[in-house]
Amino acid sequence: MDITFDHVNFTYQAGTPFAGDGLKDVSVTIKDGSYTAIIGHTGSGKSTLLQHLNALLKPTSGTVTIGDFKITNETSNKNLKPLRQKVGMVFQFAENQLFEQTVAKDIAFGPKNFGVSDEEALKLAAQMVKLVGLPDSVLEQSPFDLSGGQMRRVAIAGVLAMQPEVLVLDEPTAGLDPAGRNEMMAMFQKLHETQGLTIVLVTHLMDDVADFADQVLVMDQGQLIKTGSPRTIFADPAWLTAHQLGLPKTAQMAQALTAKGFQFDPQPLTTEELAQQLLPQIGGGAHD
Amino acid sequence: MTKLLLGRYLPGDSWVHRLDPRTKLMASFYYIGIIFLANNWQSYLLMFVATMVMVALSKIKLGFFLRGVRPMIWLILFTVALQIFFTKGGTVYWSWGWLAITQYGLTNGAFIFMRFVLIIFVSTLLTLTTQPLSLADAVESLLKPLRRIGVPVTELALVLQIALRFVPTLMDQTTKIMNAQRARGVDFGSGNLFQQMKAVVPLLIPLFVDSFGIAEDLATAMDARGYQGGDGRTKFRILQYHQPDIVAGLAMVLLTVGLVFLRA
Repeated sequence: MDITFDHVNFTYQAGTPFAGDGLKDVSVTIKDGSYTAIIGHTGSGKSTLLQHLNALLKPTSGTVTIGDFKITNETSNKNLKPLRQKVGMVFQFAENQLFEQTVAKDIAFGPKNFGVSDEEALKLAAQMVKLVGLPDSVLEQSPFDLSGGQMRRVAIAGVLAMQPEVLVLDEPTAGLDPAGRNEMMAMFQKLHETQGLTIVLVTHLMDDVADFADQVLVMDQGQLIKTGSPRTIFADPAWLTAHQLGLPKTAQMAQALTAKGFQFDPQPLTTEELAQQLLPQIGGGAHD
Repeated sequence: MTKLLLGRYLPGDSWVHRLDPRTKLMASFYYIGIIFLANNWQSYLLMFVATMVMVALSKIKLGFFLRGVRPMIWLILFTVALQIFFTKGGTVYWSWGWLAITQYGLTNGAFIFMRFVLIIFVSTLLTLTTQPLSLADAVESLLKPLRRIGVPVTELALVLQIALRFVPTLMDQTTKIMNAQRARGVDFGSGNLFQQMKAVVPLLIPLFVDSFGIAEDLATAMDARGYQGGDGRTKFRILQYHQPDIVAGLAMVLLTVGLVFLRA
């Protein structure tokens, strides 16, 4: 399911004295099966952009096309359910959305809203709990008895249970410990690779951008100021700094090493690339 | 929810903005009291002119005030209709059974309409030009004498301040949770009454959980910074009456005199 933004403008509280710009003339395509990262500092319009992906917000002008759905200012709020089923959204601090008496019921809530039978939904819940790395025993527990990290996983399981084609993640790992963060990101990557899930990730972590994304959108003051592969985006450190963004740790290290006389081409973005380029320069031979 | 204008502060630096919040609070209540003295077109005209002068002094566009009237318009029209149809006296213009439109009915209807609109204008003026926290300060300061008879004024003011402070926070949180549940297939505001009530559960429970969380965090943070109740606390914002406050008070007195003079 391709997602296309065509000259999308969005104004908050349009027509009131409190109106403010959300998005300005955004045009971009997110290809089916791609892994897109959206970066930009706080208040740059990332979250506003995300909410257009499943018509939680509708453009003030312009068109958002999501698969067969065309969303414009005139689109009625009815009949959006099929779209919302196809685009799963994990919001920031997703654990705030939990409300049911048991974890199983909470995960089953989404699928049931989209017409899946109770029985089938509970079966999905059991699968999803496993997928997000929680033990079966939590299924009958109250979500409010779990730790913060576990609650986050339950919330993510609740979105995955809707079996979306596009997964939208708004800083899904904020506040998780490093181990949990790695596990979650690895799980999303696996879903992306095995099920061809389209992923849209909003993040402040440049390492995640370098490790996972194949397309990067840079937002600033409601405008899309740069689009490209991580390699093209990270190629200009001065530009990034000017927009309050940074480099992934590997590129930072390469930069520091270049100052000491090492040479890197192309700029290493993942740990493996860095190691491979570094090895011959420090006299290490190839391992056979 | 964002259309709710009552209680929204518009930053500014006008004469009205700079008045002491106590003056504005007292003057608003006083104004709402004396508007009931008006009973003929001359006295209503005086009140109208006085209100327009206040609005002009606030340098806020008239549109904001009209927007404040909008949510109340049906209540106002209903009351006006009752006045028109049920006041008897004077020339009868139209009648049908026990319903009649009379001269007195029409004038009374017009007066009631005027009274409503002016009261809304003045209360909108108060909330548009005064920060909610300043208002809470004003309430605390004005209620201080009640401390002698054992009313916990500072605690009440604290409760009021915290409540006002967290209105926007909770509104934000509500929007976020609604979005999250919409994304999971909830339709808010559609279906029959039972379905709509059911749709509110996934919104209210997280909101409650969250509010308790916020309350606990806030209590801990206050404890950590040594809060021990209001007695003997000094204030960051000290309220002081200045010359404009005296002018505002005198204006209210003049307005009263004018009203008494003009009313029938």
